Amino acid sequence: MNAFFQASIDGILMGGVYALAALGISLIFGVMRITNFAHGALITVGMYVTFELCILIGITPYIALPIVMIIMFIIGFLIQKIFLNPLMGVAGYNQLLLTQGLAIVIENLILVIFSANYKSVTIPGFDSAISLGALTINKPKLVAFIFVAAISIGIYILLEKTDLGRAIRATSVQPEGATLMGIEVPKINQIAFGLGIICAGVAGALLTPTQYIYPTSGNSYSLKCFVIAVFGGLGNIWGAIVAGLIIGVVESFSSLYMGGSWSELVVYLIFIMTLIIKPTGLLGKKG
Amino acid sequence: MKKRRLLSIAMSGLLTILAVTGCGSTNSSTASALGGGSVIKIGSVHPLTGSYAYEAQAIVNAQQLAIDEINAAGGIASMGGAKLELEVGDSQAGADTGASETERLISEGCSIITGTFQSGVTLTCMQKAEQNQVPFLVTVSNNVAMFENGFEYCFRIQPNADVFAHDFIEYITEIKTDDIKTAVLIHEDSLTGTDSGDIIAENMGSTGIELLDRITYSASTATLSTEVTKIADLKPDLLITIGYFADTSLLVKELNERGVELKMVCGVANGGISDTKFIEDFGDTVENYLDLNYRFNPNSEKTEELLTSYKEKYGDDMSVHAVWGYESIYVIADALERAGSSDSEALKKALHETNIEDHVLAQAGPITFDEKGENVNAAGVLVQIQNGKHVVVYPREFAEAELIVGE
Repeated sequence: MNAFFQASIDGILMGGVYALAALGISLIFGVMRITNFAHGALITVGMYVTFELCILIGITPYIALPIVMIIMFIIGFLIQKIFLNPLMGVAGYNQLLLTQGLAIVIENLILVIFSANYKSVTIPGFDSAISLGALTINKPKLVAFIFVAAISIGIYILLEKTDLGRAIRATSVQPEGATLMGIEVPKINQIAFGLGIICAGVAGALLTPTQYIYPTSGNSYSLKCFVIAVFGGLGNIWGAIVAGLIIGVVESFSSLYMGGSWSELVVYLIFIMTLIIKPTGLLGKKG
Repeated sequence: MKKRRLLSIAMSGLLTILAVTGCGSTNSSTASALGGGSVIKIGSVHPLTGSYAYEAQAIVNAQQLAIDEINAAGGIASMGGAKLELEVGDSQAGADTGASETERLISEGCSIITGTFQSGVTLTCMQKAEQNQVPFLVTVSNNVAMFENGFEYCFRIQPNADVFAHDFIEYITEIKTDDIKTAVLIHEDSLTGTDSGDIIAENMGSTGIELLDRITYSASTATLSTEVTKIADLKPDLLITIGYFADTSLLVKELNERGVELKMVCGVANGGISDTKFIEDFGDTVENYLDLNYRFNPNSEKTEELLTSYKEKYGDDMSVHAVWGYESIYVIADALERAGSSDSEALKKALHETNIEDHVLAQAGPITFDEKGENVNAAGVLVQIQNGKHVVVYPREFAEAELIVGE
């Protein structure tokens, strides 16, 4: 029974990070209909940016977070401006290939700049877990979860309550219409991509205390987050969050009851089932 | 339209730069060192990009170090001082890419191929080499089955998973104290972990230690908390772990956070416990951890010189894996010297007759291959982390320090 609760806690905490990363994919798809295959590579970028900030200024990843967000936003903004805006309106596979190409370029740039050595960040006082009776809670994952919640709510408010948010939503529904209403669609796309990349970068930053940093460390998240975004309903922000948490718990339970080798299998089975049974995803609108 | 053309030019430019820097690094250093004499190319296929890039680069570095040493000492004397040259291929941690890189290196005139760090990849590369009748020398890969195919051109210096697992069973039976009654085996689920895992699970009975559970996980996992929960619940005296660097570190991190108390932790060919970075990262918490692994002979002067020159050249401590890259080049140089030719038939014959007494490995007896191509004297040793250093503690002939068991 203990193991059941422990696995639930671990699954939810891990799921939070998945959710944030998937939210980025979902947001980008929702606005621009681009499947961003460079997301995993940009998670890795977030990790390295955090690592460098921690080393250079001597701060913890949490204090570095606002700077990471700014840097990641700029990176996202520029990727959209330089690479993706010219491809808007052409066949979708062009953008798909471009993001995949970007992923390879980013990965190799990191390899050239930072070498393949494993890097890690330690936070003083975070080397033990919080214990609640027989249960334990991993501190970095708990803090990450809190940040994920805060940032998700922040993005929600931004999209629902601000003029910028309304412009983004308008663009996602009808780009041509939005243009006619005086919205600068290319600029909105850049901002939306920047926001999506903030999600990737923050997920990366929050993973640094629990994960080794190496040129491909974000890759294992790339496909998983795509699965989560589809499972939750591409373009649906709450869907991504709910699906992230579900996948986290499912992974945790399948490790517990079926063995760790099964957990990946189960996740992709869910993906296939989603595509067959409800292709629009958990919270996606009916096609 | 103009913009798009600019973009495609920029992209292709970037890719070209990457491609050039990616493969140019190895050729340039050797080419300039060569005089006019003939050159023997040695192929090296390792996962230079992907999760194992760190370990792979270390192996290639060590190979280059050995080649530089041999070339500086005059090259292959029987071939008129012919120089060695390393041709590097990147398997990208994939079996198909590994095989095509092997093919490429052979077509570029490599006399022998070495590799690849991952058993699954090594197997496809060996098949390619065998088809082309070019010798293949394994640097690191411990899968047993791949040497059961009757290949004639393939050789391996390192102990295979079978040797590791049986050595583990043998040594653990000899060193265990009475308070070690139960064990949990945790390993990653690729060929590498499963091979040794199977043998250990089968033979634990003979050690007098009860195996409570066998837990498997995927090496690329982001979390092992559920697995650690299981271990915490079972409270074993001994934890046996088989894995690579990142996953083993994840395991230890979570064990430490939860304060799981274990009387003994022993890896089997563990990529984490035997790495010096592991000690840097975990400090006191991994004191007295054991690993049954291959290793350089700690009591030889030659090893000491090697470790120093590696550190001088690459600014990093030489990993245990890298030692096999280094030794592989000396085995090849020795065979070339005796064959007096880089012809693959002659080289294969010479490799079969290998008998190297003067090596840096912790194994009793010379490096010499059986009819399958496996090193007859390959063996593992027990390494323990003591005072923040790896020391060999068992068997006694290689021991640098006394084994510490319990508190």
